Amino acid sequence: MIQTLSSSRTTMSGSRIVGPALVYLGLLGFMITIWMALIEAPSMGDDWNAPESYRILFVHVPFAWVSFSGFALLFGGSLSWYVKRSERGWRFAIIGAQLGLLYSLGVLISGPIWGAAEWGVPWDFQDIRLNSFAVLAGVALFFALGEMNSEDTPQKRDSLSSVGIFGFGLVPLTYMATRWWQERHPGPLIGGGNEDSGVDPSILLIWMIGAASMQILFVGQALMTNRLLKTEQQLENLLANLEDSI
Amino acid sequence: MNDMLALATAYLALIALLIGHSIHTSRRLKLVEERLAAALEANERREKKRNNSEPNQETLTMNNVDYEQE
Repeated sequence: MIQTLSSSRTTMSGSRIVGPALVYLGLLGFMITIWMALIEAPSMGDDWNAPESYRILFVHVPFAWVSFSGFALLFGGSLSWYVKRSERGWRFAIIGAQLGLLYSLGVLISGPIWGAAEWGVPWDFQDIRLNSFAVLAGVALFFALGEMNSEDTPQKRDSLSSVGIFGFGLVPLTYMATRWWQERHPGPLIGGGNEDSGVDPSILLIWMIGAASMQILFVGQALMTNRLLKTEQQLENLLANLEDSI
Repeated sequence: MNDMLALATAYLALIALLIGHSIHTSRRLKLVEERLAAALEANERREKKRNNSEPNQETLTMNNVDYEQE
């Protein structure tokens, strides 16, 4: 028992340092990405309606990639709760929903701003990619709000987990949407498999730096949120014990 | 929408989103850890109080036994 407590304390103190350190590192990388997008990225010619706003895509795309890490965590955590009744799995599902929502908000903020400049309209209700991604963000929002605003019972966890599990079905649909039904959203540039795919190496480099930075940031935020959820649970248990003994 | 305005708005919004979330999480964490420390302290005080009162009761019982034996 004492050993377990001391090992959990060691883990807590480890995440106490590692989490914030990764957050700082990720934020630094994000700033470097923006700097590179503004200074290093090549200018676009007159083919584009908004040749400067295209620089938004250097952060919009990594935001979208990292949001899928959040949805994957939400799916894995929900499955782990549903099948094994794992507390850790439930925590992972919450972290996945919160961070999936954060990064998809970034996509849903930056995308329409770029769309308004480039297309003249911020949104296209005919485009499957845009709409399926919005619904995916809605799944994360539903999970995060449902988890926060109602009493914690196994029934609630089961219901939200099923949303997390089935909602993940939208991920492959969103990924493939521009391949199957391209309307307005640009088609796949990396791994698209057609002759239009492929991207300038300098642009790809900035995208990769952005994606790596945001993934580091994601891991740091996940560690911090995990510590927060664990501490909240510990506090709740302690307060319940104190109340019982009075 | 103006080209440069769109670029500036998007970058500022995303920076605010990420930094805001990080600040919010670390503040919440600090608050919860402070509350946990206070609750642990209260629990410790209560345990100490209980431990102090138990030997007194034991002494009292023993005194009573002595008295009855006499």
